[in-house]
Amino acid sequence: MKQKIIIIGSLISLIAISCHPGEAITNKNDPSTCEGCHINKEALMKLAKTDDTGTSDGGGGG
Amino acid sequence: MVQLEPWEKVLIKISGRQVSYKDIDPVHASIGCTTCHGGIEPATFEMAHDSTFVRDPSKKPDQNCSPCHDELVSTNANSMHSKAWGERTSIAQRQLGEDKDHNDFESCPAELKDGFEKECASCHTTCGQCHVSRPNSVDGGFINNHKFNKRPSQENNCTACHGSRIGTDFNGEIEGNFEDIHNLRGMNCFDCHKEDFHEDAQYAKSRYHITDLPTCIDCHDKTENPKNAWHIFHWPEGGLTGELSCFVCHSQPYNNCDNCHTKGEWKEGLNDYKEYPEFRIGFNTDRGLHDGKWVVVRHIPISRDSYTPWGHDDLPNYDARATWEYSSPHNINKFTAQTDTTGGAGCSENCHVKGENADINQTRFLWKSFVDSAYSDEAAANARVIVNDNLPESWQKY
Repeated sequence: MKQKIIIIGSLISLIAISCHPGEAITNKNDPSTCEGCHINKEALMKLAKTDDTGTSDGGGGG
Repeated sequence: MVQLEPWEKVLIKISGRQVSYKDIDPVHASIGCTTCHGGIEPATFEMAHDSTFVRDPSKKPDQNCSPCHDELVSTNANSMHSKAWGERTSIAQRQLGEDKDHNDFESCPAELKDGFEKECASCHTTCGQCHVSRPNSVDGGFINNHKFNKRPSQENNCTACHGSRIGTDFNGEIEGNFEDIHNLRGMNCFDCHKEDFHEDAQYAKSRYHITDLPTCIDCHDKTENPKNAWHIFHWPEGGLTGELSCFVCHSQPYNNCDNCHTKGEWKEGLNDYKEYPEFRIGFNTDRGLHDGKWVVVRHIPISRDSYTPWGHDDLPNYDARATWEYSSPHNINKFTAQTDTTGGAGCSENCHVKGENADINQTRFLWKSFVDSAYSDEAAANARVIVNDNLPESWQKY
């Protein structure tokens, strides 16, 4: 019984992982994540002032 | 249109009870940023946007939009927006000959194909430039916080590209014009344009050859007002005297362009590139494609040496196509300078080239003398479009 639970549990975990291959890492206070930076207006404005390569040409096509 | 600030272009604005991008577009959020865009996460800014980072993943839709959107990706590869078949036809005909079309484009010299791919094709277009961001032609920027919009935004997508003609006309931005009546009534592009934008359009040698394009009579049937004398005389097909395209009576002056369209001249206004309002009635050379013996024509920015910035000599068959081409201005009004009957005058007094108004009314037509004087190098190209030989005998000639 215990083995069955472990196997079923492992299968469910595998399915869950394979269905969410790269879900966004979210942390509003962590600018090291994509979303943490792109939802942070102040961080983007600061970056735009100090760097004219990344943000200035971003967002063209999505 | 006004460009967004650099930071504004890439901001995903979280508002209200939203806590993350998942609350804006849960389906696409579940895929993860780096799955489509590459780069590294978590990372510093520089590392995150390393050499693997892709600004517009939909440049490679077979990799990034499939497998979820397989069918659309497959047909859209040959859609009118992706391939600009009409532009290919224009270039092929002016280079190779009148009997050619878009299917012959690949037989054009390498510099023409290369220039086309680098310049024209760069605007014609990716999935993301219609469904996520403003197009490259206006330097991008998220429209709706990177939410994938099934229906593109008229202002941020459609007229961002189709702005100098369609947008300007539709919004009534030319001095002295009114906005299009359909705009005034609150209609948008998709109320009329129900054609399949993603279809494989390789069958169509221009945008006017697309099936299911909107026509006026989709809504405005001839029986709508059976006693309308002007419609009885001038209905495009079956009018009693002169068969006119609807645009001849119901459009206002529209933007025309002069000179080159390559190497950014159209953006910078270089080499005498200019846009100007004009209204000219020309002879319809393709009744199978366009209704009416008479249509309105627009000057397009092509010259014999248009492609010299691409390293190409003069176009050898430049005269194969008119430079005053059929047009469908999006500035329709019931009453225009042609149909204005204020004071009891019949609309013929504003249009027919005879009697005391002949000198004024002749300015609405594409005469040989007008082309010869203003566009002397284009006389042969427009020989079939000019009106001289086809107007009534009783009218004055210019």
